[in-house]
This record gives sequence, C-alpha cells and structure tokens, in this order.
Amino acid sequence: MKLHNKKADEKILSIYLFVIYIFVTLGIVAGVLLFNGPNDVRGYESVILSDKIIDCITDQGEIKLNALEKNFNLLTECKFDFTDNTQKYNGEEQYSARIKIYNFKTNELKNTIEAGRIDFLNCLEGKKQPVCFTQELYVINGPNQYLLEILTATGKVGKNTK
Amino acid sequence: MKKQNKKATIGTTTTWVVATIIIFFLMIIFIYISFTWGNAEGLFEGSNKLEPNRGFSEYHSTLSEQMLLALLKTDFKGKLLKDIIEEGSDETKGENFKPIKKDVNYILEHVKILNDEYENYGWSLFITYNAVDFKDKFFANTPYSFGKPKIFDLIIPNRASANNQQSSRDCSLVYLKNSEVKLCQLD
Repeated sequence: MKLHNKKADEKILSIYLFVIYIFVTLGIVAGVLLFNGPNDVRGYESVILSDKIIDCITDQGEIKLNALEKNFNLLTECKFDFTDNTQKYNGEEQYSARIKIYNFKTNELKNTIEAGRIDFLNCLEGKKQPVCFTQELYVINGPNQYLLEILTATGKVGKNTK
Repeated sequence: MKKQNKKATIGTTTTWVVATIIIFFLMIIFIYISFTWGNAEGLFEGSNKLEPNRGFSEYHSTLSEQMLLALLKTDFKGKLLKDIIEEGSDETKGENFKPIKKDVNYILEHVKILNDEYENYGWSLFITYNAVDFKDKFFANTPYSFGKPKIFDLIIPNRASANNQQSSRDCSLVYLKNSEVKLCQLD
C-alpha cells in the first residue's frame, strides 16, 4: 500500500514538472526571440543615414559649396564608413547613398553624389532586398535655391531577414 | 493509512513550493543575464535613437530644421523672409504676407514628401505673433499659414486623421522677436 501511494505521488509530480518545464522553455524561447527576433531596423538605419547626410552637407539651411563640385567625396567629407566589419560581411559595404542636387527654379540637375554599394540604389520591392529611404529638401546658397533629393539604402539582408 | 496519506500530501506540497521557489529564482537569474547581455550589446541604450523623427516625434527633425532656416534666409521680393516676419505684427500680417504668399507656397508645394506612409502630408509654415502670453498660457493669436492649409484648430501630433483631427509631424520651430515660426508636415 505504501509503495502504491508513492507511485501515485510521482505521477502527479511528473505532470506538474512537465508543465513547469514547458513554461520555462516557453519563457526562454520568448526571451531569445525578443532579443534576436525579427527586429529589422534597416529602415531606421536608412533614415538615420539620410539625416546624417543632411547634417553634413548643409549648415544653417545653406548647402556647403563643395557639395556642388563634381568630385565631392561623401565618405571622406562626411567621415562615413559604409563597411560592415562583422563576421557575416567581413568588411563589405552594406550602405549606399545618392544625392541629387537640382536648381530649384529651373529643375536643372547640378550634381549627383553617389557613395557605397550602387546596386542597392535600385530599390527593388521585397523582403530580401535592401531597404531604401528617400527625402527631398529645400536649401539655399546665397541667392541660389536648390532642391536635394537624398536616397539612402541599407543592405544587410542576411543579417536582418530570415 | 490516513496518517501516511497526510505525510504524502505534505511531501508533495513541499516539493511544489520548493520547485516554485527554484523556478522563480531561475527566472530572475535568466532575466538578469538577458538584461546584462542586452546592455552589453547596446540593445537598450538610446532606444529613442531608433525613432529619429519619422512619425514618432513631432519636433526635432534635421530635414525640417534645415528647410526652415533656408526658407527664412530666402529672398522674397528683395527681402529675406526672416526680416518680413520680424517687421510685421499680428495686425499687419495679412497685408505683409500677401505679396509673397504665392512664392512661399510654390517652394512648400514643390518639396515632395516621398515617404509612402505619409503621402498625403504636405509642408506647412505657420507664423504666430505674440504666441506666448505668460499671463494667459492658452491665449494665442491665429497663425498665418503658408503651404498646406491647417483645416482644424486642433492639431494632434502623430495621429491618423481618422477622428477629424489633422495630424502633424517633422516640425521645427524658431522664435523671431515677437513671433513663433513653425514648419511642419501636415496631413
């Protein structure tokens, strides 16, 4: 009789333990997913890059004169590093930017500045494609008025999409 | 027999209580490790940085800030917009701004908002004279606006216009003498 009771207790205990194990496992899985889940922040990265570009090539609403020069190097002038030095990309460029500077009144294209992976700038639709962000900005330089069209793209497809 | 049963129940209950305590502490340890790890990876620091100015915060946008400054420095009919605003007052605003309205509107309407999410938005510039009255916080003159018109008196930042409320985003603000000049994207 004593042995029989002991067996019954073990049965209840093991079911209970299994329930607890499931809860703990779910907790751990949820925690891991929360930290390493599908947090695709490439859109934000493109926005931040675009803002940094504006911050670099404009000052108090005026475009810096050297940005209008054909040989303007965005990476050196703005001290940008578009390479991703993580193990996955091993120094490969994962960002891209294109700035088109138009004369505001005549719509004439004054300069195009490109940097990084130009193939990212095709901005194709799809989850496995780089994420693009475009914005327009009105700036001046003395009496001249300009329209900037800034397109930024962030790759890192393998790192952000599963 | 009864006594033995009681003993077994006590034993089981004790096991449950102990197991719960162990699990509770295990959870605490896991959460602590996750938090420390997340901190080391920089997951928590500057979470606001992930929301630079797109749809989350009404103010502080590099784009609108630079554009507002450019507008204020733009020459309209031989005078900078900044000077026209500073020379004006609430009484003379209509008369002062009328000759330049078309040119200012042209600029604001030609700078497109290319974000699909905000395709209905347009740039709007408000000039409010004596905007801050310290005696009566709620008192403010009606602003003079360029660009996309303000339809409703109540502008709710970052809200959809579903409830008949016009939403605004990407705003920048400057104070010039007795006026408040605000550039926003309006729905």
